[in-house]
Amino acid sequence: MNVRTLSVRNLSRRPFRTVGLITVVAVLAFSLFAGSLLEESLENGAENVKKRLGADVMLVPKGSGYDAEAILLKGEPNAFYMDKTVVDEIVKFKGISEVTTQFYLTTVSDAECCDFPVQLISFDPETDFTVTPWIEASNGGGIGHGELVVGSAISLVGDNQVKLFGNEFPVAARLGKSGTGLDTSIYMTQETMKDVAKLANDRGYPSPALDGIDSQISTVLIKAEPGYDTYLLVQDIRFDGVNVDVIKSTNITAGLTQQMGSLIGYVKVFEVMLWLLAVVVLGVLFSVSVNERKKEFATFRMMGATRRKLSSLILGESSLVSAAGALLGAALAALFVLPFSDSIGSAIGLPYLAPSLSAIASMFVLSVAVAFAIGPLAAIWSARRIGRSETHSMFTEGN
Amino acid sequence: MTNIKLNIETIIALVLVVLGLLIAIGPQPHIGPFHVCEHDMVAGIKNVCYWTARAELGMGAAIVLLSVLSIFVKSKDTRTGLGVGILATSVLALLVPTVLIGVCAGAMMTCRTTTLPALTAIGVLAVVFSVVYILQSRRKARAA
Repeated sequence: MNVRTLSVRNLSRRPFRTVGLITVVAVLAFSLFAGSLLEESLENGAENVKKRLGADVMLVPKGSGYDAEAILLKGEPNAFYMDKTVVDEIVKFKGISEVTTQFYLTTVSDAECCDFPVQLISFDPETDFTVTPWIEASNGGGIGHGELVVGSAISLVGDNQVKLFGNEFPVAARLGKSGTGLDTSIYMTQETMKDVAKLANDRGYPSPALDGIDSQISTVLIKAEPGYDTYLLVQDIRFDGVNVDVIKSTNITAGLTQQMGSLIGYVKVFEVMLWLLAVVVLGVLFSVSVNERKKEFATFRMMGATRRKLSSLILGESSLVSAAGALLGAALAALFVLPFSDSIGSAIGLPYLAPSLSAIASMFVLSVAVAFAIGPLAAIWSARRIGRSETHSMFTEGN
Repeated sequence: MTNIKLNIETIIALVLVVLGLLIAIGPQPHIGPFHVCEHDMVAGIKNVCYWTARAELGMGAAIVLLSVLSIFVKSKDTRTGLGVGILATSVLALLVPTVLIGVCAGAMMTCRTTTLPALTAIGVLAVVFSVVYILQSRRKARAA
């Protein structure tokens, strides 16, 4: 009978102890894998906010900075307006490479397309540099009058259409998933926005923006010249007294990193403590178990088993327990955390984007490996102790 | 039929009863812990997820019934047969929201963000536990 068969038999002879040991390792593997997924998804989300915004600087009406960030980060629809002439004041500043404007409108929560309010955004396809780079699938042509470009979280009806205020609009393109609040946005040209605002008005949702739709905008998006310090650009705009709130994309990312930092910090401290606790608990349990089984080990010695074989037996049992627990815990984490990523993202209220399959696979392997290491580590001391003990003393001390 | 003995098969059968109850009740509108959307997207026409919830009610009830029967049945071969029935129903319970009927298309709708992942996770667990149940009852049948 080899060490592996003997280890399996020993473990199955004490099912409750074995289940207890496997549970300890499984809890650790679950927390390691789930924690890594959470951390990576939050980092992906924060990274994508800057990419998704596409602009270095965003200008919104004075006092609307918080609302604008809420649209971007949490997908909370909002609308705010300023005079279009603000663009003429902006373009004179040094360091500006591209400028585009957008106009916002929101739907109500019972819009036919979705069971949540949606941000409607009109953009200028001629000057745009923020929406078109995110187009993942399109019908091949441009975005014509009456057509929409939808975020990844928008549901379509019938033949690739979205229903807004009772009317169906064809979808010209769909954007890729970014994990930001803009995944629940619908984009269109200004002419289409006028139609939608009129429809909303006719359906009893009067839009205050309808009258000023040609003379007003919600935001100005600015791309700085390559190498130009955006800080200087922001300072210029602020010192010139333009009546706007200035949002710098790097500041949003830095703010998110700060918010995430404490959350990820707690998760990491929890993981390290759990890992140490698991090593101690398993170490104590193996030590107690070895003490209880001294007579059994002495009998093995008398039957010709070497000291090395006894140590291998203890390490083998601990490795089997660890392997089972690590695989079980990581598999359960995959089963319960991955499918719920959208729910977790909205519960946390921060941009959240699950990593790629290859990144998930490597995190799975790493979590299983770290959790697996606990068993052999915890059993080393017991294995060394039994390997050094005299057969006679083991037999007399044993139960 | 026999008196209940608390062995590994009985424990697995009890777990399957709980999973069956979750499959049956979990997605039901208003009452389920991970219920489907509660309103119709188009007035008078039920959402896809509504029919998934109805199908899951039947599937979950069947899993509960078969699992309860397996606790009281004495014959090892009959237990294996019941286990195969639970496995087949669990596979269907997993396929209904993912392939056979599905849920609503909206990525942020509750049936997609909550009901679908919950039914997937519970369905996978039901499949795993029913396979373990069959293996365990086969092992005991062979040992007898």
